[in-house]
Amino acid sequence: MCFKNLPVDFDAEGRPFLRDDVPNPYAVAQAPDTNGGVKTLTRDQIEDLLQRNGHIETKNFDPVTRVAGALAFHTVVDNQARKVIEARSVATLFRGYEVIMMGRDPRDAIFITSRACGVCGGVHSTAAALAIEMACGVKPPPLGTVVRNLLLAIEYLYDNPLHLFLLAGPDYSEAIVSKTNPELYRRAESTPAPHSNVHGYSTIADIMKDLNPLEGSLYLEALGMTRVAREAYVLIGGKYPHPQTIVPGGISATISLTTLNEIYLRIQKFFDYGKRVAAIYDDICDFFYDADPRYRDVGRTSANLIDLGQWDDEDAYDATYENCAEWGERRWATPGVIIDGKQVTTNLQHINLGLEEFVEHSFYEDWAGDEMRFKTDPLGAPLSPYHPWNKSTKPRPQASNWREKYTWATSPRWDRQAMDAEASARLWNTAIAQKIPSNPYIEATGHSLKMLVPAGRLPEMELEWKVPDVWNAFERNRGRAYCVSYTSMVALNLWSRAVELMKSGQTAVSTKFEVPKRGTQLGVGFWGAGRGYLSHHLELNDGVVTNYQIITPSTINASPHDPWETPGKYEEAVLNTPILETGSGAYQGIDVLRAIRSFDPCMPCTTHIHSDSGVLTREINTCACGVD
Amino acid sequence: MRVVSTEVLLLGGVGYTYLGDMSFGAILVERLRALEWSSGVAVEDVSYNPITVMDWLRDDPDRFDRAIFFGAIERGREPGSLTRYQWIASGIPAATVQDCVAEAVTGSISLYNLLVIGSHFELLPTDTTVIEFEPVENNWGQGLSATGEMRATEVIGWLRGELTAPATVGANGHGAQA
Repeated sequence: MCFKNLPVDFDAEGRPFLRDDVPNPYAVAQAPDTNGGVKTLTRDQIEDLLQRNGHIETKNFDPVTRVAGALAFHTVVDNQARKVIEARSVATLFRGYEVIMMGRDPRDAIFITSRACGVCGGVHSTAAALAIEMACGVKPPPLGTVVRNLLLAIEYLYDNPLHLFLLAGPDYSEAIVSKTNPELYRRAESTPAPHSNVHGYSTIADIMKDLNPLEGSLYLEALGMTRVAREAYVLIGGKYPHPQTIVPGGISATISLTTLNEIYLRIQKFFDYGKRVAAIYDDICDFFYDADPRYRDVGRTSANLIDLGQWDDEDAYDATYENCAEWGERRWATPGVIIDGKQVTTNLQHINLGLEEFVEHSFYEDWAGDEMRFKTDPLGAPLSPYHPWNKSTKPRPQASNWREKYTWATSPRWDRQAMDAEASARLWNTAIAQKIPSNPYIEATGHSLKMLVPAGRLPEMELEWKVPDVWNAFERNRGRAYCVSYTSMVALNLWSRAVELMKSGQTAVSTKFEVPKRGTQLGVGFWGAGRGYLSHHLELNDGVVTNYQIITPSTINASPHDPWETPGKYEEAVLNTPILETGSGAYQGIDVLRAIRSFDPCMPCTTHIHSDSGVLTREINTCACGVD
Repeated sequence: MRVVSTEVLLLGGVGYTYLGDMSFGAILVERLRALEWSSGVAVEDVSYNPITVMDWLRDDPDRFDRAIFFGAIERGREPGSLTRYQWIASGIPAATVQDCVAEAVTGSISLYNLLVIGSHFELLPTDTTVIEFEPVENNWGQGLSATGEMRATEVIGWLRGELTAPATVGANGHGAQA
């Protein structure tokens, strides 16, 4: 039984049903079992502490951003205990795509929702295409599925290095560490790097120097690798980051062996790169743990992870909700939910049933009082009134109030528990489930994922990502580092399949379809972004969109407190983070920033700190008069 | 007098579409492309990730001797004003460059970021001029405000004049205003 809080049980055939012994089955009156969770104080208690103690003060982090998912972060820090006692995640922008989509032709979703992100628009286009395929009953031809998979694998090869070296990487660089923790940097100077034979750095300090922003070779190399990935991407997608060729029923690009060869030349550049990236992050993570075991608490959360899987098997995928459990489990990344480190399901239908979205602390009106549109899913299984198919987006802008509403993010929950949407959730679920298709390069062992990466300039190597014994900022980054090789090996498998399909004459890449002009249809795009979970829930009525709901990884991770005052994952991670910064200069908040950035938020790197004494954020459009 | 026929001049517009006056650069590119230019002039829409723009410039770093970039930027000046200045590519704090790169790779399209990143990687022509329009309206919309239309016409006139005469300008945000 995968649910412990929702009143959903399973019959002898494994079919879910609503228990009839619960009078008001989806009421929020009773607090769910969340295995303890992190301790939070009430706002009254926080205000009292702030008034009575000079060593307790507010520290706010205010990123400047112009893309969806802009984030600010409010903390109250106890400087004596060196810990955070209040943490609030604030999404400062209203996304609004759900509202924009209302009343439109569903095909518009592919191009409109792509604009939700400037890094990974293609994942939204794809999730939209999958939702439309389900609603319209269209299945792509094998090559269409394989090439679409390949396109999205390439997108992650853009996304993951970008985060590892341009966004999160500088937090571990010489420029930062020597300022925030000089004793740590001195130790790094005399600490040999265990994987020097792979990455070529003699000491940890040498790695840190090359992580320096703008000048470090790892930073510059990552910039270069984003170009390699973009070049591969546009060979199929036409342009980046908003592809032009993703359509329901496949893709609209012309694919030839020449196209595939040009793509291979770029994918193979990630083989050696992935080996080095994993080695670098292994050394960085283990160095911090060895230097001070308290770093294991930086960004620590309960290991609750959710992922929808991705990269469909071209023979299994039929775009139906009825068969989603079967085709979902044949994906190259296995869908799954992990609670406290244990996998509780890999069934896409069950994952879908457990989804709910709450707005108690968000700038929206509740819709639960509205007539419930769907009491069951298309298979007759019970749906919550808080499920995305039953949700209405009702924005209600207002001033922030920590007791009430303080963010534009909602609180998605699974089985009423806060979840972590992560690139590593892909590794973790796939490793434990052991359902990945048979292939020469990736092996799931039940406790790890082994990747046999072909030789380049470096010899062939077997990398092994192991399920971590603690879930924290460092392990999120380490997992993302291993994702580079995992994704490139998935891409290599997909590339081989594409070549085989072309050789066998199966060159069709799309299937024609019609949008139904009558009746009600439901669809859902179960997919993922480079940084984790992504779903698009769609309702069509008489050929137009009457509900569209997007849940992104950053919505899940940046979620505020829920109706039971359980914090979201950014908040939990920061509340568990010890303040280990020792530098003599102004407080940098590096430990808190490492915790937040480890989730790969949409725009973490523009997170700048300010205190009540002054804002230190950069205005993008300031006059350039400060430039001499 | 500068003779453009022996050099290559880049006219580059930057701006999101459908954002009213904030689309000044992108709309101006469309209008400039409809005009005839001498063989030494390239009109380009550089309204995309500045890192990718730099990749494009890096492929042929000596291609352009001069560049004029234009777009709307909100700086709190008189709405509807134009500012034209010479871009000085030195003295930009590293933290500012880092912020601009982070924004660029995560999808922001920005004239300012393009200038900062281009300067850092030494890919902008030494002779780079910037024309900024202070927007009157920044709401959703397909066209420019009446003032924006007027300024667009003026800028086209300026750019035509640039073919034969260099601008008299200040530096980095302190240029001549109309």
